[in-house]
Amino acid sequence: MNDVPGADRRAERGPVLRKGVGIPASGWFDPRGRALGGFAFSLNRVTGLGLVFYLYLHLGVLSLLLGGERSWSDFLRLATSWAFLSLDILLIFGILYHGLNGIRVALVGSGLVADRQRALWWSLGVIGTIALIAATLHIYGSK
Amino acid sequence: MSSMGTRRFRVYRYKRGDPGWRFDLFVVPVTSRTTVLEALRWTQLHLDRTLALRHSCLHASCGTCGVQVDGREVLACVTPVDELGATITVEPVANIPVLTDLVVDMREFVARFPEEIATVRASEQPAGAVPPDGIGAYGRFEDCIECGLCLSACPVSATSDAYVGPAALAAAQRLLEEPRGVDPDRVLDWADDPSGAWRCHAAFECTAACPSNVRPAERIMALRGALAGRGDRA
Amino acid sequence: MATIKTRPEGTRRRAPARAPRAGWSWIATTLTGIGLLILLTVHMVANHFVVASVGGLRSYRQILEYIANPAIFTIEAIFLLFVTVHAMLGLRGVLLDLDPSPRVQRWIDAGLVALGLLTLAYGYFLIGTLASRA
Repeated sequence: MNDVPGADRRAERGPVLRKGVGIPASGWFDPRGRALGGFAFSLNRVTGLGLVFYLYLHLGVLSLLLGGERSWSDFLRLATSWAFLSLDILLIFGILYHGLNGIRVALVGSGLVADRQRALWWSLGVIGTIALIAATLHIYGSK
Repeated sequence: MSSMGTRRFRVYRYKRGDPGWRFDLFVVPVTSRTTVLEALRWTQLHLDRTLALRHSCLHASCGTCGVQVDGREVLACVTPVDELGATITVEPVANIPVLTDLVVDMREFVARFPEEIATVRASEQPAGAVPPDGIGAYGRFEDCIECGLCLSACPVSATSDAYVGPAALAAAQRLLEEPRGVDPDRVLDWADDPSGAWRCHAAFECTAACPSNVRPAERIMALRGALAGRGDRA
Repeated sequence: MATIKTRPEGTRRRAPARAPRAGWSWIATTLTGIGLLILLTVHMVANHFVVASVGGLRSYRQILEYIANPAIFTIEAIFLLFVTVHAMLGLRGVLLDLDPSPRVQRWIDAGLVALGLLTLAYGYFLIGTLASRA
């Protein structure tokens, strides 16, 4: 059989279809065929990475305190603008989503409530939405 | 009489030895009752005899006709064309090497399973039920039909071939639930691996894709609970 | 037969070396996450939602007074520890999905430990310095 033309090529491992755009981790973000759980997982990743970025941004911003009262007051002028306050609300969305979905992942992932993952997402989502609205009113109301 | 119409099928094509894959477009007559498998078989018989696909039972019990239709994992034999768009994209399942066209190499799927899996399980017949003459006891096949749809849908499997995948982990959890002479500790040792039960990210895509009520995600979570519960074992 | 062999005797799945206690990462991420639910809530409320200022942002003096409180200092120190560990473990999970080789994985682990320690070191330096100025 080995002298049949093309036998070597036919013995090669065939292509493997992957969701995404060719980069291994991009499969998370491919929305085709995704159900709620996959969407929840992708958003958990995005908010997680956003919060890691924010951790270092926050440490950087707090470093301005080392420069004394003047340096911090200059920053506060920027930080109390409408644009900045809106970014704070985005941050709170990220914290609420990652935290509440984290509760869901802990309960589901430990096998405690594995068969209620969709119900958990929606019910924690309601709690998160209420908390986000309250935070938004508080932040914008302080301006 | 069902009304006739046509749909365009965009079908993934690859033959061993080809430089790469492509999509072929076929216009297929359909009725309100046509399934994707029937449309593909019509294509094979009337338009292109070289189109390769797998199928067997025609009623979602063998798992051989698993494909991706418009990016969603389905069994082609029970997927009505009527519920889909004017152009339907059909591809083989993901994360398993393609042998030819819509046929993937299921050896690579089976190789991920633990060394022993269950095939027959306890039946849901009531405890006192008396089987017919000549039948020793009631039993039934395990739910998993090894279609590979869960592995295709899994976002973690899209990143790595080392991850054993939902079907294998679900099969392991079934051995814990109903050991049938298998040592549960061996099963737990097999699953207790970075590429085993701990690699799952609880996306639940496998459960969403499973056509046979295996609920692999829930079983992986139960497996994790069992692993966490048995404490630190070297 | 109730069970069957999935492959001939003597063959093994193509798999990386076994790693005992492989669930430590998931368990640690979950435990720090649970801790953060409390610590982050305390941090956000105590820092930003009980202060009568725009956006809940404290002035320089208010921050120094806040961080000089021993109870607050302790809570913030524990919060920094939990958030750093949780962040490093989370990043590790994300990076593992890029399917690195075992060698690259060891570099990733070492790099994240180093990043985590640097983060803690700088964070503790920061709150220590600010507390001493009050």
